[in-house]
Formats: sequence, structure tokens, C-alpha cells
Amino acid sequence: MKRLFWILCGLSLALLAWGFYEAIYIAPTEATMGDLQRIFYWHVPIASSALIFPYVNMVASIAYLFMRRTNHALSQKLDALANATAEITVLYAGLGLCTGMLWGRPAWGIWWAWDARLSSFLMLFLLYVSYLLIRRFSASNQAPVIAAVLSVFAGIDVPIVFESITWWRTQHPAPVLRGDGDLDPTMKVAFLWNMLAWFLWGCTLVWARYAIVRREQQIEERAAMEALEA
Amino acid sequence: METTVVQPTVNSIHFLWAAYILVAVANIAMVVWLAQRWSAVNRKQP
Repeated sequence: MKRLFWILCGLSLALLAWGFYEAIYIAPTEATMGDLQRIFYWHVPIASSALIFPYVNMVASIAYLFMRRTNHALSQKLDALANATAEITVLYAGLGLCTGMLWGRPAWGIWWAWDARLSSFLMLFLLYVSYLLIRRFSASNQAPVIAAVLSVFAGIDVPIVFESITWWRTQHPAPVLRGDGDLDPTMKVAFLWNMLAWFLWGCTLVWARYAIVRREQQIEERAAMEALEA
Repeated sequence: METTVVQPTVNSIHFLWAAYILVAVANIAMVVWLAQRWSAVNRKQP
């Protein structure tokens, strides 16, 4: 498993480097925005990946809620997975928001607009920040249960974020990869490399964080056992 | 219809590089934090 982790880590880093090369040197310059449009190759893959990890978090959380009394060992693993995916969601959603603002300022002339996509994405970010705050600061030993319930509500926000640009036509551009969107084939190739790279990099980070949380759980369990024996 | 190519201003290129640097720094910080946490848990449970 350790070897597989390092293979995934190396592969995702190589893909990130290749994606960077594709975005900067291969993809053509966009007609109206010029080189500024290359933020797209960072912003969209990161923001899209931030909509995938919440689903893993939600599935792991629901499974945790069902199994926490019947299968302690598995429920601990599910809880660790939920924790890890929530942290990477916060990282990716935060970067999606910031890169979007850095693109919006020169392209739209504004840092922020309270449009459907931006607002629902900000809500997703804040929901996962709340999730992590509950886990970190709640004094109750029910914190993982409360966080798991919250993650179900956060998961409901994901399809709203995804469809917001088709349901409501506001400031954010309409989808360019589905529907009536028309992306240059060279741009599409560069985008897909970056999408794969950022998703795999996110998986690497989730795996690393999961391993750490599992170790922390084992340390806590051992300390609890020693306290009982003392 | 002829398409007008708008050359980016120096400012907009700064925004592009600011986005790239932000993404790189955030991910490097995450890796450093994970490495520190990994070392810390291994010190407690070798």
C-alpha cells in the first residue's frame, strides 16, 4: 500500500508538471481575454475536484452513521476518510474561490458578485469549514456524529453548485464543457490533463491525511486502553 | 466577422501569475503540514 501511495504521488506530480506545460505552452491564447484566460486550467479543475470529494465525504459519513454501533473498526476508517476528504474540500474550494476572484477582477472588473454559482460555492466552502470546526473544537464525544450529519447537508449543496450556472443566468459564465459550450480542441486537451492531474493530486492528499488520522485514532485508542488498565 | 484580439495588460498577467503562485504555495503548505503531522504521530507511535 505504501508503494502504491508513492506511485500515485509521483504520477500526480508528473501530471501536474505536464498539465502546467500544456496550459502555458501548448494551449492557444484565448481571443478576448488573452493569456489571462489560462487561469482556467487551474481554476476549473480545482473547483471541479472540490465538487467530487464532498460526495466521498457524504458517502463515508452516511456509512459511518449506520455502522458506528455495529462495526467499530470499519466506522473508524470511514470517519477518517470523511475527515480527510473534508480537509481537501476546504483546500480545493478555497483555491477555487481565490483563483476565481483573481480571474474575475481583471476580466469582469470586480472581485466578487453575489451570483448563484459564487454564492452556492461559498456556501459549500463555509459548510466544510464548519464541519472541520465542529470536529476540532466540539467538547462532545458526539462530534463525529454531528459532523457526519452536517456533511449530508453539505452534500446537498453540491448539485446546486454544479447546476447553478444552467439554472440561473447571472455573472458566472455558462458551462463551456457541456450544453452549448464550445471549447477549442487544444484547450480541451490541456484542460483534461489538468483535470486528471488535480483530481489525482487531491486523492494523494486525501490518502496522506487519511493515514495520519488513522494513526491518531490508534494513539487515542491505545491511550484510552492504558487509562482503563491503570 | 473579424475577431478582435485584446492583448492583456501587464496587470492582468500579474493576476495570472498571482493565481499560479497562490495555488502552488497553498499546496506546498498543505504538504509541509501533512509531513509535520506524520512525523508527530510517528514520534508518539513508532
